[in-house]
Amino acid sequence: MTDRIKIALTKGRVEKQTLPLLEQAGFNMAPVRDNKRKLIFDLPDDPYTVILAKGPDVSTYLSQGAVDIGIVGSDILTEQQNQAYELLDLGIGKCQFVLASTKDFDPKASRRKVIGTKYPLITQRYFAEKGEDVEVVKIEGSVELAPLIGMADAIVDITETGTTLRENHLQIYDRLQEVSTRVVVNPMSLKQHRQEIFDFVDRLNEVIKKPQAN
Amino acid sequence: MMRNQLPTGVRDELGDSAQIKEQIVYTIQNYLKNRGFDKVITPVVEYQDVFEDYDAGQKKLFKFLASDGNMVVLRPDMTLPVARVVSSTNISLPAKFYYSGDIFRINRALSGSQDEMTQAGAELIGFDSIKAEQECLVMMMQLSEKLELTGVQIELGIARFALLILESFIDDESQIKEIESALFQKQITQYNKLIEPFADNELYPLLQIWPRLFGPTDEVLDQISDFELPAEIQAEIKELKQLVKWMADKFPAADVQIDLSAKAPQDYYTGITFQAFSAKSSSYLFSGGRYDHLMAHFQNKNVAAIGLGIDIERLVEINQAGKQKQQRTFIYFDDAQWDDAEQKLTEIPNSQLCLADNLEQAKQIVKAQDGKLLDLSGGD
Repeated sequence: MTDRIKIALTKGRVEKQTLPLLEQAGFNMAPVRDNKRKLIFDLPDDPYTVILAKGPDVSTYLSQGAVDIGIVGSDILTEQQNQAYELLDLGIGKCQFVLASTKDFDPKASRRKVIGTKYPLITQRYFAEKGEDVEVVKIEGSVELAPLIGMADAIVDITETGTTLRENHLQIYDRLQEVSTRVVVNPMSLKQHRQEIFDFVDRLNEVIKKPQAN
Repeated sequence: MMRNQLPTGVRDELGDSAQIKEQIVYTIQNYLKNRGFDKVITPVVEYQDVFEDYDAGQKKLFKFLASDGNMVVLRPDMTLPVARVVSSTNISLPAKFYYSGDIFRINRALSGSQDEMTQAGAELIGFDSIKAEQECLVMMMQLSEKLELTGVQIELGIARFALLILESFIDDESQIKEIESALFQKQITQYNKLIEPFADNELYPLLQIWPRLFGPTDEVLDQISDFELPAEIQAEIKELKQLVKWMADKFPAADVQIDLSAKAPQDYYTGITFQAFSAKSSSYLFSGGRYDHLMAHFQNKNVAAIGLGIDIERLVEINQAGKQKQQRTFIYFDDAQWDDAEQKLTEIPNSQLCLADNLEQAKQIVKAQDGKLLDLSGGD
């Protein structure tokens, strides 16, 4: 058997938005679409194996060389200080990091603020750049709760449309970096499988360059 | 209670993997010794200043205060300590050294990376001839053979290629750094944005293909031949071509590639760089280059020098993969049979004296160890 290229695809939203792009690029993704429980799929017509994983794990697998290609959000790449090559911005999964809180939050208040977030590193960097020292509290889910229950003065989180924030009566105080889905590659793999990896990236690039029908 | 636990990022090595490591280190050291290199052993602990200004000093290090109030670190690199030795002792140059030892870098916690890694290598100090590069290439080729590596690719590069090209038409240092970093990290979206302002520059077509400027030697040399490159880099390109040709003559079967899009393996490299990996390795196995300016970090004079580092951890990994565990023979014997038992021990590979007092006990040990029993006692 020849070496198959291993692609780690982030489960969930990224997976849903990426599958149509891969199909337009001519990859037969039927095995991934048809199966509900399996996590590893050999593509029938191409020498690629697709692995479904959680975003932060995609980054870990890549850095350990366990997979060759990763498809993952740039929020995770930044937070995990990813060292892999970022060959393509798929332009999907677009959202933005924001600083948000309740309406009585005062960003200029002169005290050490408590900030709740899933992204401690990005949060620390943001406040360090502003020359401000804050206490970061790591929250695993529903970050919006933190200011509502008095856990934190404000939160740093990603938002697509701002709906969840509005529904929880939170407003945006500042916009940080933008986020989108990226194709990343393990540097050693690129040397070992140059042709196959560039082929994969180029086929996807052709698709995203075309204006989308919808 | 931490009494029987290890901190994350370090590990014990036992049995096969420990022996394979020892064997690989022995093979390399013996090889370098036979080439007339001198051994150098430096301490694991060094002043932090030794590594400052270089990439190795910016990595996360194990640090603590020495009794003199200065910051000391567990060494993150082996070349800088050797350069320190040479600059502070009256060693007459040129000289060739080899070393092996552990280096320490703190990786992201719980990422599966090891913070303590064994490295071996050679430093050729006081040599400005291209023959020094050639000796390093010969050593990579011969060691690959001795270590039975398959699918080895040699990769040549020029440490300051990106810097010299960008400096030829950009004055702003921070802009150069930004483009370099996007190029080296192959952050293509960011990179394409950064080069846009130079669309009118005659080197723009090079900028466009730059992130993919690596691959088989003919291909890459052919690609750069289309461009009028700055004069400062011509000498190095000439050397690169010379080495490519020399490799083709000397090792016609070798798979040689060029990468002009990557960051040099170490910040202190100034000339030609060379690396090697095998089909199975998850990172480079050999990595080296010329560092003619490094000695000025320790003394007021530059010395031409070149080094080659070897990643023992990766070599062990490759060597272990696919190796089957061999069954061990346990030699059970009576007290009167010591000489016989010793004789068998030398004859049978992977055997061990069984120190049980009776055959029943011996059988239990062999079963627990999944081994083979050789009973000299005749079933007492």
